[in-house]
Amino acid sequence: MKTHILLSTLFIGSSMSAFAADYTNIVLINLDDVGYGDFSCNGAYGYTTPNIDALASEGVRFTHFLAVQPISGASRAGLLTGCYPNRIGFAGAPGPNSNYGIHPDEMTMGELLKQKGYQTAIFGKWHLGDAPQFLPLQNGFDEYYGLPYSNDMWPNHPQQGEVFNFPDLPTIDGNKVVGYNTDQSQFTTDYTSRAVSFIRENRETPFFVYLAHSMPHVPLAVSDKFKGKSEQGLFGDVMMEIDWSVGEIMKTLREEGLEDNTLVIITSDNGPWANYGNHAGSAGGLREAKATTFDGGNRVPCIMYWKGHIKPGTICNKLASNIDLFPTFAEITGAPLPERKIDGISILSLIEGKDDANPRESFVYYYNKNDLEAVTDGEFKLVFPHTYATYGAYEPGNDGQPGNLANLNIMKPELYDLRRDPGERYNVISQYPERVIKLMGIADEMREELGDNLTRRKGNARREPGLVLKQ
Amino acid sequence: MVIILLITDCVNAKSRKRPNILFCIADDVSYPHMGAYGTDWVITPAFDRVAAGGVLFDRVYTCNAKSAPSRSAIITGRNSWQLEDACNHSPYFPSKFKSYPEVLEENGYFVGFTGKGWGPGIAKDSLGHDRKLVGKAWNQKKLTPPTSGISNIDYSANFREFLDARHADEPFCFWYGALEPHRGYEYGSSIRAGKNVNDIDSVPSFWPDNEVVRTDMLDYALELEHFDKHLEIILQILEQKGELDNTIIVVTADHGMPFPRCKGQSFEYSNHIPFAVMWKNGIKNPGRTARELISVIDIAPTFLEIAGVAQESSGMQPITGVSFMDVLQDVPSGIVRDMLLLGKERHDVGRPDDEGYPIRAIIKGDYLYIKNFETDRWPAGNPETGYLNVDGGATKTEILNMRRRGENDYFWNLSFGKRGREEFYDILNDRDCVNNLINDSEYVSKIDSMRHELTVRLIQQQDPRILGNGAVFDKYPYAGAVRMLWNRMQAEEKIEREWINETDDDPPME
Repeated sequence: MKTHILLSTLFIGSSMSAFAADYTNIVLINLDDVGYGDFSCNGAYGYTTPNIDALASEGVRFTHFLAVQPISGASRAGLLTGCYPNRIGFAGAPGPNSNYGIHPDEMTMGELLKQKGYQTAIFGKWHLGDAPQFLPLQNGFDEYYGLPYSNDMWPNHPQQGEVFNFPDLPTIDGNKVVGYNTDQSQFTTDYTSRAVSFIRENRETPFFVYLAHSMPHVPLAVSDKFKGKSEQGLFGDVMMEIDWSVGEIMKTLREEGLEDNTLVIITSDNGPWANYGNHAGSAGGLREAKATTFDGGNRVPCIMYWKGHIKPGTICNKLASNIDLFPTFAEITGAPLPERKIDGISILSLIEGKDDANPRESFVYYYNKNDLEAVTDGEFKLVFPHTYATYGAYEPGNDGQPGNLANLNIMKPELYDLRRDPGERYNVISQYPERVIKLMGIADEMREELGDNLTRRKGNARREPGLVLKQ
Repeated sequence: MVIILLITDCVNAKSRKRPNILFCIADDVSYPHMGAYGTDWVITPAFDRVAAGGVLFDRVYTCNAKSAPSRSAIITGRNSWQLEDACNHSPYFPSKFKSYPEVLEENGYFVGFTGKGWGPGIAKDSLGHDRKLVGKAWNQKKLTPPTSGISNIDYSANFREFLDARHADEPFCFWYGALEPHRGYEYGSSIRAGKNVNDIDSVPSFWPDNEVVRTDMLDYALELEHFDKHLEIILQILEQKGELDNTIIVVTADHGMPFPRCKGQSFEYSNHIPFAVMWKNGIKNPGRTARELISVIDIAPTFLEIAGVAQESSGMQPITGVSFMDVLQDVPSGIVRDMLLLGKERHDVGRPDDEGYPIRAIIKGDYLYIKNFETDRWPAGNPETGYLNVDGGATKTEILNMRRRGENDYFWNLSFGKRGREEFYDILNDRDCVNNLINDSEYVSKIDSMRHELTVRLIQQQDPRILGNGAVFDKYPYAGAVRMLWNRMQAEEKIEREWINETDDDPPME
């Protein structure tokens, strides 16, 4: 108890002595296909992530943080709007010339913070639609440099011609295409240096940097700085470069005197793409991976650093999701939330380490067009019958080639006690009927609003995505 | 070690002369239609003898009031919703579910049946071979039936053949499955046999009380008496062979009578069945009436216990039912028997896409709570396909015609009309289940607690219907020739529907 009081005093002391800006900058680093186990502090092998680990030991590490969907486009649409993506008509991973994207009436994180005068920028992967009206500059961002969608949606895809027919992959600066099929080994470096410049340019004003690295999504590529540096092949090299990038951002913040009023967050859009074998990350022992609603697909690392506000070394085991960042930013900055309903819940209380806080009492795992596949209350997870593509039936590919997936059917609802079975292996549904009733009730409430194709429910609160009108 | 123990167990069991098991199941009889229950318009001396010499059970229910699902539950000891395809009528019986007769055969019993065994449906093992879910058939011996509605199988003579084929030291397990009093009936055969419509003390209040209905009831009684007559001969054969004392004889029915709002639904007349057990060597204090709530899923574990076969080593899927050996032996066991579950999915076809009419229900004490899951569907099947889940017969025709003539649609509504989402009945005072108390403020907390208990228990039993995956039952294919009947009739295909009358069809309704 005494230690605690002492620590709190130190805290207040340190934050009072700091440069007293009356606003908080935000740097949100969203990695692509990083699994739960891909940072050293979460058990990664063969390389280390010292800069990321340092933020965890100086900040808070979340252990039950769920990407809203286990797929890039939907996860990012949810992250940037604070909504279950199916609420705003968003699903899947839109590819080139997608006919849907973010609806202009939906408020993005950029638009949220613009209300408070933030300078906003995204460097990296967007994935909320590639038609001009869907791009970042039309949706709340002042600057954009990066890819409109995934870095493997290009003519060099290993299955180009057999399965896919991707056009050239544009790199976009602002609203302009500045190159096609850009050398991917420079992506991490380029995004980082642009983020560094942006921070330096905006050191006097509130800013929001959304650093959405394309790596370590396949095709993996790394600059010469890290080529061959890890014991984990190209994947390890790429992770080391990502960690370097985090280090560069932190160095910049410190040099500019912004460390005390900048919230830095590192997370991932979804779990690893496991059928890429040695080019994929690790789900850290969780079941399955990306594109499944088992926790290997949804549960991602999340580390936050905010000097003076977070007790160093905090570990948060409470349920949270990337859709909670939107309202959290609103609470931190005082930006008004949109009038339209969102699903995120501010987790500022968790960031600040309030012991009895539990802002998110449940989470529903939607996937595909509108399938409610599972529901959790943070302790138990009820998995509904559905079909999913398992990584367990075939050996993975290697060196950039994907392995095969096989469809599996969950025939009967299954209940997992995540407290002792985070790997979702032991069905205990018969033993906890009351819990099942509770979770079914939560699911039913969501079905009422958002529908569920698996049970043929339409939902009364779904909104339309932005659509490209056919000419 | 386990194997040695098992063998020892077996040897011991043999040296104790394991009891024979005789299971007698009439086809479609409602409680209380046996003489022993005080119904005097049926004459059932054999049933009454079993009851008087053993235990008359007053509150036994099938979990599912249709032939195949009820029989599936009986032979597996599991509730319908725990049996996948076998929840439905005329299913492809899943190979994973082993039956108690199969287990007893493996354990040294001589096993067979006469008449109607398990069915209708198709049962094959994982290699595609036909299974004998209740043993080998003994149907060679024939007789000249007393009416055109009665089977020509000589049940008792076949039982004698079966017994003669057995080695003297083998215990037997026999299934006497009468085809009576299943429809069709020869209308008026009971009157010609000397019965009188005035014999009937009362007609259930959900049918019109008139001569046609009373005659139909008596025709049912006549067929039931045919079942009882063969039971009587079977008892005599056992006596002659000196096996009567060492045989447990269970007499019951698969479900309620083949009349509107009985068989095929989930009311008292649907699921509540007659049940009596005689076993001279096993029952203590014979001549008792047992009032415990017993489900047909309790039969298989009782038989396994009597045969000395451990459930764990039986190869059966885990049994949900609980042996009622304690009731037979009249010893306190601490088992509380005040609750049981009922339910159904697809019975006969006749709805679009072969959908069923899903129901789950719970009886607790003297109350019945029913949940109807798909209230847009027709409870007895669509009008335009002839309400196929009610077998054709005089009472059905009478109720349909009363509505068509504009005389009365009260009876039609009760038997064929759509229903609300929930029903609640005081089955002690309203055995007919016509006074739905679901909105009665007096019962709010009772209803709440029963609704909750039903949900909890169904979750414990992993019922897909309660866990949100109920549509799976609609997708299991119907094994008979009338599969997808509604859809095919819409496409103007002529389909033989031998179990109803052509006049049963009504125009489509909302």
